[in-house]
Amino acid sequence: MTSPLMEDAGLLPPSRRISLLRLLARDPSAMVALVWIFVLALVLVANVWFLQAYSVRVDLKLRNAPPFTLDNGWIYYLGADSLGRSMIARLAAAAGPSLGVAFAAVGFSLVCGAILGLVAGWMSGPVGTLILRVADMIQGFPTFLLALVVLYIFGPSVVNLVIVLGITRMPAYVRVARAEVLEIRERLFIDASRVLGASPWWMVRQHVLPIVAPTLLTIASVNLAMVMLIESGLSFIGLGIQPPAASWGLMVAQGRGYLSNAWWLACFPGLAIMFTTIAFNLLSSWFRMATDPQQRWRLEL
Amino acid sequence: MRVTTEPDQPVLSIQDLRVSFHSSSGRIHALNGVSFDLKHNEVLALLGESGSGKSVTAAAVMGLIDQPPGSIDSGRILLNGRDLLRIAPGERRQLCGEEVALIFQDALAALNPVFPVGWQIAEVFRVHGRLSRSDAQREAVRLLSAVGIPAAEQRAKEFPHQFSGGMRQRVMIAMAMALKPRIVIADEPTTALDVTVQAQIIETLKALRVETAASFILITHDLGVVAEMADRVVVMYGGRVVEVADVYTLFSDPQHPYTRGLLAAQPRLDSEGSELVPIPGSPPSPAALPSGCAFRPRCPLAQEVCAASVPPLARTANTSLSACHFPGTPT
Amino acid sequence: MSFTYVLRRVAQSIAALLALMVVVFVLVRATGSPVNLYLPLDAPQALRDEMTIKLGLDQPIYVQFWNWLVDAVQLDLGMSLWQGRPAIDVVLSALPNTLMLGLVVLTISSLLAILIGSLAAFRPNGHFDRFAGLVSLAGASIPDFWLALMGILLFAVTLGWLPTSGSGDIRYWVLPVTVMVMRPLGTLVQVVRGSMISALAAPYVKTARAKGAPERRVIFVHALRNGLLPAITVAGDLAAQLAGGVTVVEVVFGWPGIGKLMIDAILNRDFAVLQAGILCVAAVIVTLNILVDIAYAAIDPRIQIQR
Repeated sequence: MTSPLMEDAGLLPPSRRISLLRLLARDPSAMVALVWIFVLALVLVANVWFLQAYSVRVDLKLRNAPPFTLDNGWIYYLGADSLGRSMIARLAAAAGPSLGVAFAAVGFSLVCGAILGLVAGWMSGPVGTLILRVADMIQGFPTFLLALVVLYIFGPSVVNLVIVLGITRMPAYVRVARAEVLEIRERLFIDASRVLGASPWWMVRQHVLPIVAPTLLTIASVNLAMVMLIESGLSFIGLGIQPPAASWGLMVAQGRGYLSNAWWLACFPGLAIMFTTIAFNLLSSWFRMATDPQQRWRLEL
Repeated sequence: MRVTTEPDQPVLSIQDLRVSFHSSSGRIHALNGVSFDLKHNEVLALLGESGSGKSVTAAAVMGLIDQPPGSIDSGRILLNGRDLLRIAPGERRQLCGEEVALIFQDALAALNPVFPVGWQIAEVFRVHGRLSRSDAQREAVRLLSAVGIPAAEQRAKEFPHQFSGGMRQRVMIAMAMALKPRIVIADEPTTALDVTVQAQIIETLKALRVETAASFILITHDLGVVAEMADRVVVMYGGRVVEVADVYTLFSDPQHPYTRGLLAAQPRLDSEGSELVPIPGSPPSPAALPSGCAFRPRCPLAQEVCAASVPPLARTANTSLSACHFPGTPT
Repeated sequence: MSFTYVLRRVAQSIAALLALMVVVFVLVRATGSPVNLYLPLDAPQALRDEMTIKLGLDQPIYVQFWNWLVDAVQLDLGMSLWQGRPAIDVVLSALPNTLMLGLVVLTISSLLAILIGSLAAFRPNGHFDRFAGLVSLAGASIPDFWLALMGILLFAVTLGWLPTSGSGDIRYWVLPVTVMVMRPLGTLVQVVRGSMISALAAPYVKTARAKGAPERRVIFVHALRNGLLPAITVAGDLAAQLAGGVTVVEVVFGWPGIGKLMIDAILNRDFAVLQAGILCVAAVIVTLNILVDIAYAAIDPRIQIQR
């Protein structure tokens, strides 16, 4: 936004502190995204409360019941699947595993990636180079294929799923954390701390983390949507979340065979995935703007 | 479309130009009623500190102000009698390079790093539809050697990062002079260079002025450059013109307190042992100009009337123009 | 650019491939009973023992590794139990289908991204920029397998305009390409937009305008040449992802490429093909990386290729 001309005119906006909530309110798309997330939270609660029962209740009379009619009661407003189970209930039941895996994987890659990056940057000898090279290799390889092969070798349990998804996303965090550490290591205040007898861990916590944290969190927010898409793809293939647990991706796969006569079986779970990933993406854009001093003014206007 | 002008008619006349920019911290008033004329074959220096609006003036003349966030609020820019602010954009664009040219300050940033230097000079010809590709390239080489770059044929194929600072500035000069424009605006042509190279560039510009009979607007904050090259000087402060004088009069009998302050702050070889007197305070931010005269907070002569009204640019006893309620008063 | 540079990159790439093979080797043996990877889950113990001997899995580790290495260098990556052919042949017959699809997808995405991204950068936050933002959001959010199914539902089942699956003439390409273009397009539009905004704000753009160049030339000659540089790197990454075959899309459309092959290999528990597939994809990727480096150096004269 600044051009040399404007600098000549003395134009440098002052920074101001505005509460996070108000920044959020200035961005309408982020607000919409937040509403959806809130809806999902409600759905999760409803699931635990009473919807769970409906998601396993088989009613063959209502097999492939069509949506958008209240004839069978509100619980069947989005139709029923091939076993007569309420779509609303099943979507709700699948929300938990889908979201849970996404958050767990992102959390895992954030924490481990940050630690590995910090280590790689601090001990920039052969250890550091090795970590970096491995990260490069993982990043260069097609994510889905990598996940496929590893899950085949080790079996598609939820834990393996989370670990694999986490590992494929880790290199970005490793890179960023390492770059920050390398840059900060050379600065004078680190030498000052070292002279005062501070341990490396203390220096990292005090100096490096506060600077690195916003960037890492931005990457994490972007990754949420990506991981959800990968997980749903894997579940669709059959190597993700396994039945009897539910996942939106799995539901799409189950609906695939009924495409011509019961399109809602495959359509609605996909919409659920899409709305959620859109929400995550919008929130991460907002977050990126809010934490970037150069762009923040758009939200402060 | 070259209109011949009478020798005593100004080639360029800027009249009460007001330019502002929108920003997140409000409206920035960069130019607040700038007026001056440029005569045929003269070198006019635009003198001022950063923030005074000199570069914005140049950008306004060249049509380089992005609107938004900038806006040209009022005023006229008359080139040979035609108001540049009111002609069609296509025509305006045509004039750039043909009638008016700009030499940028930072030659490294101003040249496109991925194209050879000769290509960039030749582009001026091609864009204005004057010459074929090979003829344009030949002309570019000729121009390069005219501004004093040795082995021009070879060098034309090289990239900007392969040239030294002084050479790059010469390339910019060659590019500006390509179509023999009538007006050349040089924005801080020597600021980024070291002293010996500065002298060479000044010599090059002087020679060009004689050869082409073009008029120059020399934007600078360096009094030495002004003394070397300028015929007349326009002093700018806070987005306004505060003094207009011919160069001798400016140095010997400055009228405006700001000009006096500038001259007093310069070290001189002939002032033995006297102290340097800097102007107290700092230049105003265009986002928050003082009321009345912009120089008031730093002026030793300031009175109530200075806060109440903006002093108009008026003729003083020694035929200069000065925007001060108390011109010529010793400080 | 010197021959030694290219040679050095090739050597680095081979080293990377070797490292990958080591990793695969280790991973497979880390499961405890590697033979299970080659057999159905309910195979009788006798069969397992037989396979163990046949695959040489009962030998000491270093002997296994040596054999593995020797075979790999000769491109003998085992026999496909499922298809009865050498695994490498199976893979090589599927690879071109993926590469062709990937090439078409990347070309279309790149051209569209350059156009949309440049126009969006010209007026940031203007109408076109918002449109570009929507395109990117769609690309980053829409599940490709779902879009594929909806596409089939609409165009093949309901309207009957296009075939549901397989490969053949151009009609078979329409849906797969459209679906696969979404994500790379979304990413590239943002990258091009970002770097074009920087390029358009650069001083040399003002110089071009001061010379009297028309806007069209300023954007597509001066700014674009600089703005493309970051996009090339990203395009290289995307090409690598595409080289792996967008698996789900291939599966849904029955496209006979690497992605579908991997899935089928998994379903048939044919680990030899799976292994061969990974190595081939890795080889394609390292080649792509070298090509991207060369392209970058060709466009940006400031990059000096060191000896």
